[in-house]
Amino acid sequence: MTCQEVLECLDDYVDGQLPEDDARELREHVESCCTCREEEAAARVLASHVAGLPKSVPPARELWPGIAVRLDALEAPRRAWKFRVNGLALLTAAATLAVIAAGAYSFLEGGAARRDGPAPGIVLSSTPAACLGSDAGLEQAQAEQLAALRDCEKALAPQTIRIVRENLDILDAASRTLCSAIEEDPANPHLMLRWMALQQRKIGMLAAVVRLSGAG
Amino acid sequence: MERAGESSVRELAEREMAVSGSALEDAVLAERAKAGDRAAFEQLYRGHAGRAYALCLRLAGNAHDAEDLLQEAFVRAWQKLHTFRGDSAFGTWFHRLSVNVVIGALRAKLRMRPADYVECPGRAASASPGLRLDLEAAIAQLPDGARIVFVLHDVEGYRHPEIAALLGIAVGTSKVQLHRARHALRKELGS
Repeated sequence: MTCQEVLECLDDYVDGQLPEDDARELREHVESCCTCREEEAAARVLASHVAGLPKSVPPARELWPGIAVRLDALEAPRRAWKFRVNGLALLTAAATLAVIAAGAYSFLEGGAARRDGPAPGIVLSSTPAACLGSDAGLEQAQAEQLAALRDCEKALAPQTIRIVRENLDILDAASRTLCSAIEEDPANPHLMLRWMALQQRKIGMLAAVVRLSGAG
Repeated sequence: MERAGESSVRELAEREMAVSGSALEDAVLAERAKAGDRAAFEQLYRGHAGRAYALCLRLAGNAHDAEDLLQEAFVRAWQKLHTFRGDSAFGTWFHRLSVNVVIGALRAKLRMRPADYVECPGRAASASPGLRLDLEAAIAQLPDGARIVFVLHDVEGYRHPEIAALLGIAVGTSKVQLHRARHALRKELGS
């Protein structure tokens, strides 16, 4: 067995998966070859260190609140929309809720005239094309969501409305940045993941507003 | 080729988990969570976040993506709790789900890499002292394909056919990636 062959077989040998005949040849070579002996020793050392890696690593920061917000976001629309929120449907839902968020923003701004036009704080055209989908029930769902928000308008304090508006602005700014990034790198799954999470946070906030008013 | 009569590291861990008292407690919590009990689900999070985060961190190679992936895994678990029937421990079920979530997110990125794209990782300038941290840093700096195969095989105990099926690659490709990852790590840790 040559040094090159030893290197090619070394992983299987260390894992105990090399056929006995090959293993014997490898052992014979290693006994007489200092370089391969060092390689074998290094492979075993690496294996022992890997085995000693901790099975559990606590996150550097508390992540449950973010999960809870996303679960909130899932619960409210699921009840109203009656369709499964996963896969492409989740993307569709997220895109649609950006539209709902725009309506909510407009609604919170007050005034029928502003509700009829696009909300200044939310740029719908920045929604990535890859995130757009279609569903017959979405238009109806949007109308229902907006109706729920209208019902709770009078129960909300001006301070609350202002905070909601500020948060929508922040979320939208982040959304626009992510959309630009996705357009530049549409195959990047991390960007899409973050965009989805962002939309869900937006949904969660709107759902929380409705609940806060006592209408949810 | 698998070792006859021997169980993989992962199978042993799963058995250990299945017979532990915490598995019974998890089963109760999972049942409550399936019924919509958010507090029970949070307890499951508290019990399993560290294990899942270690997986996400090593597979993703950075803390930022790992945090996103961990959150995504728990959100997905909440959505799929109705499919958990208690045939295995909750930890086992959730771990598999987490692997699928992470691999799903990374698969597109992995396919964008040329198959032979592997380079020796450079030592992290800010690496903390201690061999374990050096090893973690070296793993994190492996190219995506090599890192994912290495973590799944050597850390998580998956076998090449399972890895190949998960990643949509050939078994031979999985072996090559593992070989390159180990070689790069040996070189890095030996330098």
